Amino acid sequence: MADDIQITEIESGAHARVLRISGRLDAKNAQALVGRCHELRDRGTTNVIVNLKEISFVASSGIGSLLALTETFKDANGALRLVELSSAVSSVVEILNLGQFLEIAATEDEALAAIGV
Amino acid sequence: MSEPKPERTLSIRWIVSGAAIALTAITVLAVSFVGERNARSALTRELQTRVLLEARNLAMTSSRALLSEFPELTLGPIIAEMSEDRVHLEQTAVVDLERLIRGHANARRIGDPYSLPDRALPVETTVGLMPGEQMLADDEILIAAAPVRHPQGHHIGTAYVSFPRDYVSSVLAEARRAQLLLVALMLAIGIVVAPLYMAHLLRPIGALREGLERIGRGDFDSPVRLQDRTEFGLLARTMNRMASGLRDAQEQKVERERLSHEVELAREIQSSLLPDADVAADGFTIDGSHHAAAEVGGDIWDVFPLEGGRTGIAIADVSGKGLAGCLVTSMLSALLRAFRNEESSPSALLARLERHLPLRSGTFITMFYGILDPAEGSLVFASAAHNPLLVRRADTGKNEWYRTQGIPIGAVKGGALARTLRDERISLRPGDVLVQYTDGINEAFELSGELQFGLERLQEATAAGADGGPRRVIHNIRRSLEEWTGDQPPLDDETLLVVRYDGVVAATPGTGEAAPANAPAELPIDSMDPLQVLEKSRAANHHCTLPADLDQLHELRGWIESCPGFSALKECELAIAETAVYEVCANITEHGYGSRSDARMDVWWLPQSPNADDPPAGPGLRGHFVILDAGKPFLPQDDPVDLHDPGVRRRGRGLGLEIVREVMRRVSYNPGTPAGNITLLAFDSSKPRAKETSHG
Repeated sequence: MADDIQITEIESGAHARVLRISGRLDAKNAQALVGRCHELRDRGTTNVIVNLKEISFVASSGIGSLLALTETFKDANGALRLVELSSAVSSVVEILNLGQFLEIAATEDEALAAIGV
Repeated sequence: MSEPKPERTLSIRWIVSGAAIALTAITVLAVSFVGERNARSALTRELQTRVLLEARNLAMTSSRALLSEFPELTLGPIIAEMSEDRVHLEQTAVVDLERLIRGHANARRIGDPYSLPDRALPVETTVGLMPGEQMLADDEILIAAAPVRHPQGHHIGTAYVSFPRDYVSSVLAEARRAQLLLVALMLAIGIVVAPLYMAHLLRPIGALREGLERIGRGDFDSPVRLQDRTEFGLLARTMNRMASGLRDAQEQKVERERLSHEVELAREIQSSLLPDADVAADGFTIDGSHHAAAEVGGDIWDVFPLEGGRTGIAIADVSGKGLAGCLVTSMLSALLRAFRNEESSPSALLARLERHLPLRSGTFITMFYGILDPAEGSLVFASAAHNPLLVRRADTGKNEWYRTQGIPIGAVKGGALARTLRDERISLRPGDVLVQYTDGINEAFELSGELQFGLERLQEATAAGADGGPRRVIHNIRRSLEEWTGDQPPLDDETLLVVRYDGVVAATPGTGEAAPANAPAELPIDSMDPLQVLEKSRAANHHCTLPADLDQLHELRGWIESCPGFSALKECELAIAETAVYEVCANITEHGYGSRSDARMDVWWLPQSPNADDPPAGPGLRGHFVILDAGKPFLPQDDPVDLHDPGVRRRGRGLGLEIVREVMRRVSYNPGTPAGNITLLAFDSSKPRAKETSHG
């Protein structure tokens, strides 16, 4: 379906992955993202970078999943970093003042640098 | 209703009697058996002694006869005489050293050799045998042999005396017959007497049973009358005590139910007096909360519009509790609403309330009443001994406490109240937060019961939530209070009233900022009936129909973009408007429609403008999204989520309404109107966002 989320996974080092996702981050698609991230964690990936440049819309469940995943990776002594927030995502992050709870970086390189890859 | 068939009961009378008789019979038989065995052994010994004595006797008698020429003449009659003592004559004889018979009852046996029966063998005996003596027996007879001695002592022959052995058996059989007869007689008596006696003993059971049946029917007043010195008497007394205990318990239960019904009624009356939370008033955001104690208290808060665009706010604590307190509260509420537009001075209103409230001595009310004026940005208030008012200033972050001299309403008769009250005026700037509360809040005790919550903690909780608006402030105070008191139920009503001055948003387009005071009152649509708003939306006809399917809600974006005014909005404003409307539609889809796949909902955009068809472009776009659905009405989650709690973040839920509230100026859900459930979202692209309104 055209509205399904697209997830592209790029390997960056042994314990880091970049996920580039595009489309609408709503309740259903958020589950797909959560599922993929849990899979990565279970396989030992502790650092995940999610590129949100191509997200045209985000629902509360989508933003809630990003918060929950941030906590999940923090608990696993790693981090989930969000990069290149689209205006749809950044406006929700700003309005709920979520910057303090999420790890946000401007670009993938910056996020990779932060984890020393 | 048919009587249940009585179950077959086993009678204790028969069980006990039968058991007693059987036990007696077994005991008697066992005793008889043991007795007979002992008797047999005693009788046997006696018989042996007797036969030996007879033999010795015969031997002694025979000594001189054996030495005579015709001993048989002397011995024959002696032996024949012995038959009278049941002696067995055949084997009773006196023999000489050649074992020839010298004395016998039968004269023809004289001179014959004496022989013992073939099977006669020596028997073991406890009778003391002297040298030369012997005790022999076969199945039928017992034979004792005693030596016959010459007067000088040497052995000259032997005397044999014999007895039939069945003597013992015949004696015992006779004894047994007598014994059995006695046992049979006793058992016969037992069989007749035992059940009769048991019946006599068990007679009280009938009375007890009747008593229990009476208690079962709910008759606790007829005691069981039983004069009985056995345990049954004790049981009857216990039963009577139980009946009176049950009667008391039932009376208490009825009383409790009556009281609980009364309290429920009072609670309903009280909650019906409280306004809906999150009240919209021009220029102010007002919210309140009320948590009732177990016993209904007399707290109330109220908000209502006044003439000239002003808003009245009140909070009061009536000293009485229960139904009485509740009646005073409801009277107070009614009078307050009746007089609100007749008195422009808060202190005059409080004094007037006192004159009209028929308060009994000992009942008094502490009350705060204020008038909010959006145009002036002011609060004029008076306080009848109510708690001090907290004002949190947005620009400086300063907390100001306002105390007054007023005495409680009803405390002193004769109009003394009016002399102590004074109107106070406070100027407000946008973002300033006012907090009023009842003493259930500041006097709440911590778990250990020593320290009260106090004003300091109230101030801290207010400061921490002031930027998030009244709802956030209330949430913070409630959370802080719950941490303070733990799981204890509230001892007193806990009531909060929080107001934020929003300033007046300019009606003129293009500024995008909070306008200074004195701007005209705006958004009159807020006070309209949702059905009227729906009517206007239908007329404006910016409409789309959406299937109640989360996968189809993406159609919203295209439709919102096509609505007048939206194409000129910035991308991020458009995205946020879409997210907010999407959240409401998703909520309706999930909670209102559940899994119904055929359901639909209608969305309208109703621009707010003097000329609806020519709305202001760009920033300052205002109007209502009107959403109509036919799903099941539901309760929207009302508590703000606290994202500082990692547990809340892990769940990642409950953000939808936060987004809607932050994006929209006002949200109202009107379930169950004749047209369906109507959700109104007041959109204002110039609404100060959380980030922008955070002062200091």
